[in-house]
Amino acid sequence: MSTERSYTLLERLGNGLVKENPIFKLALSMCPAVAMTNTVRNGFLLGLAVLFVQVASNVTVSILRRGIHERIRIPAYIIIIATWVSVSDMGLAAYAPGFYKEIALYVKLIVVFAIIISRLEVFASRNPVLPSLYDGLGMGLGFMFGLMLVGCFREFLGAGTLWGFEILPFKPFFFWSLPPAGFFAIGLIMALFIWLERKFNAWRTKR
Amino acid sequence: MRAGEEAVKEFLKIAANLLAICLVAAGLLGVIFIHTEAARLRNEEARLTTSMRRYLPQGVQADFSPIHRYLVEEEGQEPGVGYLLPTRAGHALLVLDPEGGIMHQAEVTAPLDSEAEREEAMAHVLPGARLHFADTYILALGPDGRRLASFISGRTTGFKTWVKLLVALGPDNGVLGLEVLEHEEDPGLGAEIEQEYFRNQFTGRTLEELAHLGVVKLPLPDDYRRCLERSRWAERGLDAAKAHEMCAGYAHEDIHAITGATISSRRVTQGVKRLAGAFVRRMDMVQAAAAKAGLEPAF
Repeated sequence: MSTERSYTLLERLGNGLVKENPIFKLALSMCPAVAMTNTVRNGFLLGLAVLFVQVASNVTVSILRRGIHERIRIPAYIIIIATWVSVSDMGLAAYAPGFYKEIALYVKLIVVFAIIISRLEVFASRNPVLPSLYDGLGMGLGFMFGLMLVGCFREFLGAGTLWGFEILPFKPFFFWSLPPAGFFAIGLIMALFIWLERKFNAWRTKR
Repeated sequence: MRAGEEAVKEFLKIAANLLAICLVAAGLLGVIFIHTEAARLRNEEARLTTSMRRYLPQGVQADFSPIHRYLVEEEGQEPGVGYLLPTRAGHALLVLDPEGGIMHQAEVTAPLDSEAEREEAMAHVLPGARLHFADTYILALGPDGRRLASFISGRTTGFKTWVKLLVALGPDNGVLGLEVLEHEEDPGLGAEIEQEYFRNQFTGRTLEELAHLGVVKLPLPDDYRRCLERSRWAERGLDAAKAHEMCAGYAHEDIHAITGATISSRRVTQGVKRLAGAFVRRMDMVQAAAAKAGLEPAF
């Protein structure tokens, strides 16, 4: 059991976006991060879907944390995630058909994302509702930020566009649009991310 | 003994815990499903109707008449294909063998609006037969009963899973257009099949051309792409006549595969060819059989 710490919204957002960024620091859910980031828009849509499921599952598990038996917590978490994924799938199909048409493919994939279940196990099952909500927000936004950053890089280099708008009249390197390029893109950005963070920390301790 | 009892207790507790979670989840999903399913079906139907209207001449009153196709199995007989089709008098059921010979024919007066009503009406005509729904063709009929367009919805395999297509054919069975209703292809690659620059390459192909249509791995010429993207004609200062002129030079080329998604492009092309070919063959068969049976189809 972790010690009772007080988590604030700001601290949790910073944690999800930078300190424990799901993609660049925890290196979790790399499959979607590689496969779905050939455009910024794809990254954003997938990030949005993950944000919702992460927050909803975090809150549910936090509420039920004393009722779930220790030995079946993983299957229980999977059922909770799958339930929220199905709820959002059905709700969107009925009430936001235009949006659903674009996002349907991503929503169904979320059940198996490692980042969601790992946050339930590491955080939501050991903390009260409000901090778990903040943690879900931070991790969801951090994931979205990571996907969009990789998406920017790949869309610009692969298609010469950003969010579908033409920036360059030609495709600089089509290679960056293909799935294998996702590995290279994430590796490069991850290295840059960690280098920048180290620089920043060194600068801060010096002051 | 004591330890064993403890273990059983623990086991039951775990089972009850998991069961409770599953029941709550199932209940929640059930409630949400009941509340959303009708809206989802309505959305899907609305989308189909909007897609179909796009291929009809503007301002013309069109009546959508479906033809439902069933596989019919009867004891001690070869299976046949049942067509539930609109006639001038109402509806008729025509069961044909694979060569087009008539196995059964009957007028149907019962209402046929829902799947349940259709199955009941058919069971009334063919007692004891087993019916398997195959697909539905939708004909758009003008006020004078002339066929304005035929819509074939069907599926084909994509690169990953099924791709649901809607092929629109004109009165001469040339392709009016292609819509991709559902797919799960990769975004940025196979998912490009839903883009106009791919779909509209099929527009204007005659049935004869379609039969020999292939896919080439050549980059799409820039001006061809510009005239294919109909929704952006206005922003590019193109009108129908100008765009048609630009496209004319390319109109008889093979389909240009999407970069990085040759397999998706090929499968969709094969799907369109197969769906259109089968539709035309079956309709010829139905029309010949209906004439022989003395039925007057409404198309």
